[in-house]
Amino acid sequence: MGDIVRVAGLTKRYGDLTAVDGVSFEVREGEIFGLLGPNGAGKTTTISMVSCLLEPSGGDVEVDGHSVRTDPGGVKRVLGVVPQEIALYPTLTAIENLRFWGRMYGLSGALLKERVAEALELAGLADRAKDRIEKYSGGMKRRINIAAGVLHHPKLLLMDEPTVGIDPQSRNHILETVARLNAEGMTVVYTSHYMEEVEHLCDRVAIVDHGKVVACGTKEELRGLVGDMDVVTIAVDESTEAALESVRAVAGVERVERADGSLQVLSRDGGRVLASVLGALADAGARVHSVDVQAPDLESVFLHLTGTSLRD
Amino acid sequence: MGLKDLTVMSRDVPALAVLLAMPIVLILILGSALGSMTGGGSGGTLVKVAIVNEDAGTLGARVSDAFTKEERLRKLFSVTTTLPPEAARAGVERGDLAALLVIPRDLSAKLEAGAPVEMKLYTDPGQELSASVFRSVVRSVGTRVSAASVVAQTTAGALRASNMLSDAKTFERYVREAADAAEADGALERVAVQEQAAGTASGEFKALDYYAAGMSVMFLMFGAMYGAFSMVGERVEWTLPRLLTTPTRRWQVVGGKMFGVFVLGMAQFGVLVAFTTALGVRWGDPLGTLLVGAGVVLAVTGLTVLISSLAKSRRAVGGIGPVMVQVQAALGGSFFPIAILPKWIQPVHYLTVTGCGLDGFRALQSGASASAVLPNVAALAGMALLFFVIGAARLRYE
Repeated sequence: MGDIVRVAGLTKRYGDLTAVDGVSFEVREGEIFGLLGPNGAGKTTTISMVSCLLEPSGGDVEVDGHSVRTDPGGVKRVLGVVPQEIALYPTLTAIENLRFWGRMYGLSGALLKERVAEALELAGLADRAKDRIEKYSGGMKRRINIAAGVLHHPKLLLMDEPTVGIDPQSRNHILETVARLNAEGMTVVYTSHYMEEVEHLCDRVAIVDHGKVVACGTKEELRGLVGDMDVVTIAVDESTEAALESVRAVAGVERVERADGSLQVLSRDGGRVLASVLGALADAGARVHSVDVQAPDLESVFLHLTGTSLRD
Repeated sequence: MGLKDLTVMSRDVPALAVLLAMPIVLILILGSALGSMTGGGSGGTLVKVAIVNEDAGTLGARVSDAFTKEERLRKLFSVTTTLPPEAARAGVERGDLAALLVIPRDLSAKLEAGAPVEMKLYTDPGQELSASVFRSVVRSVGTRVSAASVVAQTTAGALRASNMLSDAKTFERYVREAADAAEADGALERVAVQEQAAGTASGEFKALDYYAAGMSVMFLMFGAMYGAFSMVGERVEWTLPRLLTTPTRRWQVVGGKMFGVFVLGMAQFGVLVAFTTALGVRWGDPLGTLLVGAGVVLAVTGLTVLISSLAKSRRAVGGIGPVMVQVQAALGGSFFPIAILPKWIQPVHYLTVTGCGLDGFRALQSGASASAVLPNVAALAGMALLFFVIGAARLRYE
């Protein structure tokens, strides 16, 4: 399989702010490619340039051989886009929305009817087709939002944080849908700040931070960057700066970060340093609720590469 | 795109209420209020007018006497005949008097010579309904004086020629023949009334007619606000970015939005015309009405693009839109005849959508043909183009 997307030196500046700074990566035909990074890392800006919505300040993107600079029409014919926001008309019904978006992608007549029915089935909302979008739950809206992006069977689907703010059931449905679309041959670029989703879905991942790709490869390749380090997650009631510093001072600890009421400690031998880390926390007056030692995942890769957590 | 917008619009009950119900309510309120304020020509408050008789002969006095001595007219008018011309005219300009009739110095001489003559009528546009009543009566009195003059001339001449002053039957025959002949050759129209009042048209004025046109134009302009809400809404609700990732081109997106605004405006105009016609409003020539209406809606469509380009958010549309609409409505005459504005500001109404549209509708209501309002339609189309070009150049898609 060849590359369907080639991003080379892509840059976007807004005055003095560089939102995307020389990003390069390739997406292979038939894979699910993840763009993983915290909010504000530049993922959406990158996706917006790939989808011809924003003009790059520098660099270029080729989609199926069409340049976003010289042939945006050619790029758009290949693409399906699922934006981060619910880009639907709330006072129209699901079927009216899908018909409209289908027409915008050039579908009409019997084919449009067939694709709308198929998209409703994909979203699992055929029985709610005549309800207005404003009556839907957040998860149902997200599902129709995705359905509207795949009506025309695009070769490449760009999905920008498609599971933000929804319930676990809808999230599972969306993840299953993405996997199903990919199994049917659709190449997917999936941006998220949820490590678990990217880890679960994607064949290859680009880790993005501060507008730059800090690492890119298969999940195994990325985990290899961390080497044989363990990730020790310690839930504490109050992680003061003093506690943080005392843990950093423990021999064998590579990195320490605070995240959501817990400390994440990277160490080449988690089991051996654990006792010392817990002792340091006790000395600093922090109360420990739970301890978990895991093999490296993308979260620890991100922590290792950037020194910060993926979490908000 | 346009069809989608119409579907969305059809479900927006508050917007429909503003675009359709509000103008109808205001037409009824303002039409009724102005009618009662001016007496509607049907009794009640006397209409204050002045007559300046400059005629050197006797016929001028007969015109003046008709208003001061005839019981029927004294119930309608409070007539002042003692004011000098300039003072009387100043009274009209101040609004103290609804109208001033000036009987020219040569009225009797011209009528006796069988020549046409003009009486001058100055009216206060702010009391147009009262003035229109006076205008009608002046014309009627003028016709009577013309007839009397013709009959007197013809009869006297014939009697002199035949020397049959004592023959009553012959006298009656001559009088009848003279009257018939006068009617046949238009002699009864020899006394014309020349009216001077900026922005007023001939024909009977009805407040309901005026406000049907004025409010319709103004609320058609609110359609531009709705259109701008819709366009800005596409941007802030992310449907515009999504649209721009589809193969649909930018001009198709904007064109589709404009098509929706135009169709919506024409539908709104159709409903308003139909409803007000049922209330008794005279719109005049149907083709002309359609053309002026289409011109206004076209300008509104262009204005939609302009407002959308100026506003970053719906809140901004809510700020910019009403200012644009209300200022144009006030300067264009939707709330009141522009003649009551200071003279220096009156020409501005030609630069407003409401002014061009309302002038066109008023002309049609006064009996003008469709061809007579083509300049208004052209001006409205020009405004539409100007608004669109400026708006499209500024429109932000990102």
